[in-house]
Amino acid sequence: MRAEGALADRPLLVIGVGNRDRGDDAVGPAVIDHVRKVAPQLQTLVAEGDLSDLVLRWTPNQDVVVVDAVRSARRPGSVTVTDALATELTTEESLLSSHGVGLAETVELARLLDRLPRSLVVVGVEAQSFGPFDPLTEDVAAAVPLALQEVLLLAGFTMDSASAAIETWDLVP
Amino acid sequence: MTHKNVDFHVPVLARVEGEGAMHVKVADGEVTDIRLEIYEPPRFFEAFLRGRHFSEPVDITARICGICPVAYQMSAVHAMERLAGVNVGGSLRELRRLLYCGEWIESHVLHIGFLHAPDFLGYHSGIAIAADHPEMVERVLQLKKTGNDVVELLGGRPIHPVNVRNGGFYRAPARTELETLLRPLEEAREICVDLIRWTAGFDFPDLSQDYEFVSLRHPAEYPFNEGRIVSNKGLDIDVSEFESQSQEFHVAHSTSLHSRLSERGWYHVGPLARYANNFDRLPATIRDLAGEVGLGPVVTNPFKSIVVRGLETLYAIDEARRIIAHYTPPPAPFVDVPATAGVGWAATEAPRGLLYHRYETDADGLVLTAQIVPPTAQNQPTIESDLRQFVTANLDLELDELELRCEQTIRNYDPCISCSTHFLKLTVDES
Repeated sequence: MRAEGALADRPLLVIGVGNRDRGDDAVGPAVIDHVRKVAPQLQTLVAEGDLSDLVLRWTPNQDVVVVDAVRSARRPGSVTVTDALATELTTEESLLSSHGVGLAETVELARLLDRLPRSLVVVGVEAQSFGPFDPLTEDVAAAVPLALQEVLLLAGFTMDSASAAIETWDLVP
Repeated sequence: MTHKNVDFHVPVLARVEGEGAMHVKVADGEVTDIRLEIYEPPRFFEAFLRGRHFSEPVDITARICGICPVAYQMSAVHAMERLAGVNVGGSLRELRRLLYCGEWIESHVLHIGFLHAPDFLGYHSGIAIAADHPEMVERVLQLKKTGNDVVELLGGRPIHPVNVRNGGFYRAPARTELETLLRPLEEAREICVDLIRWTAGFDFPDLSQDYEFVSLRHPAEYPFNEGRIVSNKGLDIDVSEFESQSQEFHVAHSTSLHSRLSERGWYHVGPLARYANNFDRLPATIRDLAGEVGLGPVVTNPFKSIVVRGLETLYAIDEARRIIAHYTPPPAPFVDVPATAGVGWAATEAPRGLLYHRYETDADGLVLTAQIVPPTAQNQPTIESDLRQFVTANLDLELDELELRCEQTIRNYDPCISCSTHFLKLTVDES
């Protein structure tokens, strides 16, 4: 299934960040659930709460994709792809680790400790609501296939093979 | 110069869990208003629990907090088991203590390294420390990860564990699985001792009060899950008597209830209380290390809580190693806990202090009423008392410094605002 692509021959770690029990914060783990079905060959990880442990998991020869709920001025459900090594993440863009060290701080910590991976891309989904035990809001749930598609493209899938995989699993909203 | 009139407001407290603020007002050299304002909306967990099956609170209450879910799980299962008259012993009891060890390690180390140490070293965040002390920060990360690994192995997830149930666990680990933790724990022990010595060298502001320290006390163990509720001033009650001996009350500036002991007043829960009430329950090696770094059997300067948290982390590491070394898998991963009509109580020691649960259920096991008293709610009047004393004694500080030290005074308690709202901003008003 895996196609040729920029990262096709590199070890790729896909990390879903967020709390499954806090509304749209669960979008990162939700995308990872689908990645595991559609592309089980990819190494995946769900990180809930404090993210500082990620620093110890990243290695210099690794390519990392992080899927996270973000909060900016965009429309809820908007999907953005950000090169975290070329862009300074702000707390406004990476929210919702309800405890301890968030994604922006984790990237900065890894930078200071010389533990950044070779590449680090953040697939962000604009979130709307973070109520305890709430499900994903409609707009954010509808954005999961697009976020998944971005992950697959970063993993080296072609657009056609990514679309086919998503259709196979009936994930098209 | 000494300020005669001060009025400052810190609208969003940093390096605490949840959302709160602080307001300090001084007029003619007298502190006239101190408020730890908790504005995070209350989450009404107790109402949410009504009508639920008695098997559900263990997982529902774990969602109250991302840093101390084990504490909520332990208080919930112990209350349900007491209600049903079931005693969980042997290896299952030891596995529960091991799970609590993991939570103490990850919670205490996060607070020591990333939330509290910056106050003593003059950094705005734990991340900034890494620029000047990369080796120490890397070791702190490794130490915290060891705690996460313990919780993940036993609980199924590093936060919000899913493997705990009334009567025990859904799955008990094999001895070989637990043994994978031994080497990381041995490395963690060495890091922890260095961390304790490092924090003991910090410059601690002067502050000391005649606290009533309240904690569990067990006949033989430093307390995690079991014991009577005691204080250094003579309180000695069964957990079932807690509500009759304490009062929760609402204050206008907080969405979290405050607590006091009837006819005794405000009190202090958490590491300093556990340490004072249970110093003799610590192993001699840890008591000796406490003495080496200048701590006696009772510590009344809350700024030194950072060192006591380190000692408790060391205890958790040693206790985890002991449990794993003697572990024999239980015959079954859980014992049956039948639905029973009645009332059950439990208190366990969350990293931040005593966490009380009470449940009343009917014969079908449905929850009729629930009561949860988290540690930060209990500590709020004590934190405000600390602030009042600290500000009164330090009106000669520059305002920026005073504000920073006031925030530090609050962080001494590692407050978990999200837990208590079921709970900070600082305002200093210089008029």
